[in-house]
Amino acid sequence: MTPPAPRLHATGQPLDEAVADAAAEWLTRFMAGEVDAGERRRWQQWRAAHPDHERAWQHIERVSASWQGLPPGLAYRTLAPLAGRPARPGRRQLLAALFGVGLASGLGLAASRSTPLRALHADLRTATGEQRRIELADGSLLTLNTASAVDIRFDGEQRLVRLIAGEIHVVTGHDARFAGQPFVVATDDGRVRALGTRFAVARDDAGSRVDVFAHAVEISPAGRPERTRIVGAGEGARFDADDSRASALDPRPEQWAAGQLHADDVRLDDFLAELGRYRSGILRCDPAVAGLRFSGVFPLADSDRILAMLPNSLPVQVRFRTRYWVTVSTVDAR
Amino acid sequence: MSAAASPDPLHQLYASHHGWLHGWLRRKLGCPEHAADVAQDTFLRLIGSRDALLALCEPRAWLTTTANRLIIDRARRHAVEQAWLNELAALADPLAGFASPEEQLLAAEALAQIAAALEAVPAKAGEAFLLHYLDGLTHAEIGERLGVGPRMVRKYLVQCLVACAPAEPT
Repeated sequence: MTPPAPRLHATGQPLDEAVADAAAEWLTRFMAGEVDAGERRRWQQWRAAHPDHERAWQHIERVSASWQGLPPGLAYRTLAPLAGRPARPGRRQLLAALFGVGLASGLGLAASRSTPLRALHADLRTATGEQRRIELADGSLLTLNTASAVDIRFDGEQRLVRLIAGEIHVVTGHDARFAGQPFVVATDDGRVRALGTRFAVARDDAGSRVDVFAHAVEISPAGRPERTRIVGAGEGARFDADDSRASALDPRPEQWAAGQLHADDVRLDDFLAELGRYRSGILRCDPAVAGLRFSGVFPLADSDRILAMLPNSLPVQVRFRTRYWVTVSTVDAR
Repeated sequence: MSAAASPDPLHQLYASHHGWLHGWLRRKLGCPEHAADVAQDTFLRLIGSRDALLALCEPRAWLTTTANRLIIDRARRHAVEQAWLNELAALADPLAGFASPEEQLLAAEALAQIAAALEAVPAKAGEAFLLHYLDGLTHAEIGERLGVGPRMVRKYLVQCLVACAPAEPT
């Protein structure tokens, strides 16, 4: 008698295989940006059709979220040589590893899509609606969100990224050649020194903000550098040239850095305000529909498509006067 | 059926087969200490198993199958942890991506679970999954890299997601 095969579970309860399949299919489509208006309505209907469906969806979302915390380069390099092997050779290889023979490595998987940036100095800019991810000389991954600009100065003393506009997400690298050179993101308001690893810095009219997703950073306001503040993982802070204050963590940088826009029971006007950051021109929301709520995960790459599907999720119409002047209003408004 | 409901058969099982299992593992692994650990874990698994009674029908088949699975789990975990530590060691900064030993443990655990899940899928599917979820490539980029069409990329990713889902501790 062999042990039974592991069953699918979500939140401790068994889950039907077909339901798990369907949830995985939905998540995959969302991530690919393949969910059009009608599909999206079917997604909502599917979730509502049975408690197991909602449970399966929540489960798959949670499972996939748990990978977001893994540092992209490291996690990929760790698993790439091991993954997807048929069980038998994998077993032999693993046993070899267990007894100290060591891992066969160098199964040449290509490098990530991030472009290594060899130059120690570069100015980078994204247009509205554009995102860019680059790998710096020290292995750090820098993602620029929409309408952002940075200068990069690695001068042998420190690794400085000057945020001129917009927002960036940083996963610090740890190349040996840069040991002892602090990684600093500077804005006009002050300096953010990385004490570790994964964080985001944004600059807007009201000042600067930082959100820390792993380890910690130290803020030092430009006018009062002695007033330092340590911001730990799961915390956020705002700062200007004089001072800093703690604030709740904004989870969005981790989402946009993954190319996603999350809506979790949000008001339409809030959603459109956020979406508007990724679009040129005017995106207006009729007050009559501003309070409608909805949920979804959207690929940021195509905001036109996100707008085009809104009418099938909500009782709204989307009118494009031009590509740069869009109004979302009640269905019969003229 | 919980183990507590039938302590005597389990006790008897342990008495009759533990020595045999240990011997079998020692021959298989060539390392007495490792064999003892695996034998211990195998019986722990039995005690924790809802299917404990099934084991009583053919105890040695159950024990060897379970022990084999544990050996593979341990080996995989060890391999992933080593690969992970090697990657960390290649970094100059001891603070690296994961600061505390606990966080490193969690990361290694998560990676081992992904590795376990991906063993059940074809190599290309696993590669598609890693490229998408751990390296941020789009479906189109993955299709190009692997030389397959978009429908196949999607199929790969769904397959891997389903394989990964039960790996999460509940």
